[in-house]
Amino acid sequence: MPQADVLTASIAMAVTYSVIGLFVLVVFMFLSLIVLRIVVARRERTFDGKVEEIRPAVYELLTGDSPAGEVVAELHATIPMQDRRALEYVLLENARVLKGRELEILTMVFEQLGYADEDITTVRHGRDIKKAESAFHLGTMRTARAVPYLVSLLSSSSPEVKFSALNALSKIGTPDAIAAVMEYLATDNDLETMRVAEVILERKQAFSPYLEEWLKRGEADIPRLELLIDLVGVMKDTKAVLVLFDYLAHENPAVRARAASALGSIRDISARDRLEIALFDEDPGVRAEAASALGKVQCIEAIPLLKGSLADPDLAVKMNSAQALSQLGEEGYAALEEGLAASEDQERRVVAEVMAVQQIRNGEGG
Amino acid sequence: MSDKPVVVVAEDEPQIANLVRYKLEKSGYEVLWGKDGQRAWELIQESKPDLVILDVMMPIMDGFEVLRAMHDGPETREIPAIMVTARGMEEDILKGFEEGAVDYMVKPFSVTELAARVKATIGRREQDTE
Repeated sequence: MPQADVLTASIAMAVTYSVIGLFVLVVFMFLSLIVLRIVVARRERTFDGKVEEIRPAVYELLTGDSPAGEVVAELHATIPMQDRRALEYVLLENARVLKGRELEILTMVFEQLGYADEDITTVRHGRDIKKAESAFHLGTMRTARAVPYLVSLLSSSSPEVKFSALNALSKIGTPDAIAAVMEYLATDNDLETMRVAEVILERKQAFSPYLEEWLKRGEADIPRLELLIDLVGVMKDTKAVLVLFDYLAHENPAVRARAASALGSIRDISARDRLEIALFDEDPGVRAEAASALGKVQCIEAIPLLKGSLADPDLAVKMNSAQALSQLGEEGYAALEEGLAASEDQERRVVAEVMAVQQIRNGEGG
Repeated sequence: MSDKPVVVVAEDEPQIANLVRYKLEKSGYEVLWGKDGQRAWELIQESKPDLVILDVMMPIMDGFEVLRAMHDGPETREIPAIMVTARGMEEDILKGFEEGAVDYMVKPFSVTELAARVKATIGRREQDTE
């Protein structure tokens, strides 16, 4: 056989074996994935089954007449070690939706069966994802003795760990926990309004006085002021209305706009006069938020001013004014239609679009 | 159907529905669970319950829509409803009363307190009809 043919045959054989090898590898990986999926599904089914078995015992604990101590001892004796995670799951799912004496019972069981200790250990030494999970557990169970460990998580580089710790501290709500959250709000530079709001809404009554006091002092940089103003708006804190009036006159237009927006969220009619003045602010962002807020506070008296704002040179002001008018009943709609008739073609299109959107929303709302 | 008072629980979170159901059944009620507003409304029409526990946020029909449907139905408008609202949605309470709810609870709540309110509401209704 010529040497060239031998070489060609060798290459062909090598390619064939490589293709076969690759095929076998792919089939092997595919089968492994299927087996893995079956194993995971079976474990999940087993876990779900255990949860179903354990639930009645926990319901009995919560609603029964037996002393809690007796039921805890029984749970301890009857739940096998390998079902501890399922029991923890049931305790947590109930603690999330209950309060009062029933939550106290769950907290006691969580402590007595050693889950709190396990979670504190994880908070101190676990991986980030596990730390966040354990912090969530400790918060849900209001484990007050975990506060120092949760505070130490606030210096974590992981946003998930930090927010989980904040959430837990807020839920626990002891004075040291609340103070730690406020200290964090004053110093951290990586805050997200909605997530912080979600955290502190858990303890609105406890946090409101601190936020109001802080806004009164005004000792904060602009981004933090904006955050504080947003928070009192999200919390619909009516006690913050007076201090927000001051911020409607702040030198920074972004702060003024945030104050107008927060007053709209709080929906306190006493803000009417200040918002009407803000409708003539030199900054279009402030005017747009003021128009929107006047609609939210249902200020019928502002209809002529909002009608006038339909001719504002700024598009956002125009749109927000149209939307506000559409929220103010038949009188508002009539003013909107009049404004529509008097406006230029382009303005008319914008207003018509807003009205259409509003009508769709009203339809969705039933 | 048994002689027990019937309560329809309209709640899309199974863990809440299961617990409420356990407590109310233990307190002597027959409990029917609707996992969304539409199913709850069907159960209300079929069973004419003594009371309805209505979560506000539910798929397909929300709690207010179910309340309005109950109010529009000649056989359902007298059935008392207790609204269950989420924390931070306190304006829902006022809206619920406007739509005809007789009481409300805010999540998280005490299931023992809820059972006490159910008992009081059904008791008042029985007194009114006597």
